[in-house]
Amino acid sequence: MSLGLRWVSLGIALAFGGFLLLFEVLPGLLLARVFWNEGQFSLASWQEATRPLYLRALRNSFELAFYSALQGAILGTLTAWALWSSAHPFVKRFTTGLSAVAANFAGPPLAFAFIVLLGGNGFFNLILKGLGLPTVDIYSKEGLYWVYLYFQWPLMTVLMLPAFGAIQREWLEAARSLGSSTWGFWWRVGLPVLLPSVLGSYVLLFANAFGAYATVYALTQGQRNLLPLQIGFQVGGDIGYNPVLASTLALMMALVLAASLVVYRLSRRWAARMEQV
Amino acid sequence: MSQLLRRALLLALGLYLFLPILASLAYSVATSWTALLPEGYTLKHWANLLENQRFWLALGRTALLSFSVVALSIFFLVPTLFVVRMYYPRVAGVLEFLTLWPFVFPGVILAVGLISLYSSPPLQLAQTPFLLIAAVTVISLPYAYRAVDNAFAAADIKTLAEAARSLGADDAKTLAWVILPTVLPGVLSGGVLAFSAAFGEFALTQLLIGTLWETLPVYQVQLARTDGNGSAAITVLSFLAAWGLGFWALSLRKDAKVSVI
Repeated sequence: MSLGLRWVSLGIALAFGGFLLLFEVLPGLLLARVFWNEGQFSLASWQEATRPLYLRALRNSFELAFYSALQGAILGTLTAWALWSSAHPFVKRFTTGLSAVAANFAGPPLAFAFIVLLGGNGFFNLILKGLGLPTVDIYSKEGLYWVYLYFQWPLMTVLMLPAFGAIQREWLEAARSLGSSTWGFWWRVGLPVLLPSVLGSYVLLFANAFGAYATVYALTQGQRNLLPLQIGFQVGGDIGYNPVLASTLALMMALVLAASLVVYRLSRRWAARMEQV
Repeated sequence: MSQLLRRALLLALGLYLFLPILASLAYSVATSWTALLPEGYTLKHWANLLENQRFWLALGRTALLSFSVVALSIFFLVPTLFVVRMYYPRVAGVLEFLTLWPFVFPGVILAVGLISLYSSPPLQLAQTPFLLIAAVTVISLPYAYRAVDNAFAAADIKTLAEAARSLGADDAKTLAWVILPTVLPGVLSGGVLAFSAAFGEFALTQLLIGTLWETLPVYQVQLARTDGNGSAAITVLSFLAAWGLGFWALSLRKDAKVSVI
């Protein structure tokens, strides 16, 4: 290989490094500037960001992410099991593709689609009303779970498929022929193999909901005490412009996400070990 | 019993994924809809939307943003992955780390960092489309990186390039006839994924530039306040774009494996 291609590529690679430094790494790292005030270490902005209003936002976001990920994890794991055990290859391929695509569909279009379905005069609510059942309020706290489930459920399905792939269907038959029950098989073989992946995928779903801004903004016009919305309000809002507070809240959020990433990486390592055995 | 549960689960997922979109489609062609089914059907809302200059401008900006992000991603990723895989395999870990970065610093956080960094000289880029393009490129990096990296990993570039050289090919020939054709499907798949991510991007757009440079999702939020039916039409369009692009990207890959991070 002569030198031309190598050096041109290296030049572009270095430019890429500079680009990432300017627009990815520095904007993240320099958030920590909030701890310096006129050259001195200061906790003033941290105290501002831990006022009850913002602690409640943190708590609300945590709760939303926790339960929305839980719902997605349960339904997604069951759906991955259904795909694993169902024989039809077309159904499997189609559902996998569909899930992979739907897992990335969020933001205003999704929010408005659910308003059409579950808003005050939404189609589904009209059916519920007609049947004399209680309707769903899409703008309520529970309403948000319905919207988030749209991407959480398929995301978990897609994430769990490879883990189920590590379990051979013949194992189940072998266990049965040796006198184990189906439940016994899943308890003693399935669960240990799947558990690391369930945990890792759950953490991804959690982070996915915790950092989500677009969908809930479009749904509520930002009128909800959640951490991402509070942050956006402090930089984009007309009234509450306070970039230092926004940076501090952003840092708080990044800490939770960094912790999720660590748990995710650990669970991946654990999963790799389980699949080797 | 378990057969029944299996079918019920798959059916429920299918309904859950399709019903909101079908309802939006129906709403975009409904005259009025207060009973179980729309009273009548009309193409009026679609006509209004398609005659609206603001819609076309928003769509144009979204297309410009998406194409710029794809161009920038491919321009950076292909030479970088080539040179890293070929000559500096030890740097691969750093690259991997940088593609994980948006996980900890998603759109909202990145927007805050960028605003406080670029609102004043020397680089006063805040509220320009350039900053938005850079930011969306960063956010969609994990998608594009994964696809392009898989293509390079599957191709064994090093052996290919050495073989080409030993047969007398120069740099240009090696690039044009050996390396690019091998990684092309993966690069294309990465480009399509980046395009799709940029097309639907909202958080960064709204916070970095907002209505000053209105893209389709930002326009939809504005439109929804006055025209629910028109907004439903945009939902249908966005859905078609996202699903079309998504399935296209999947079809470009040999394996059905999907990785998120």
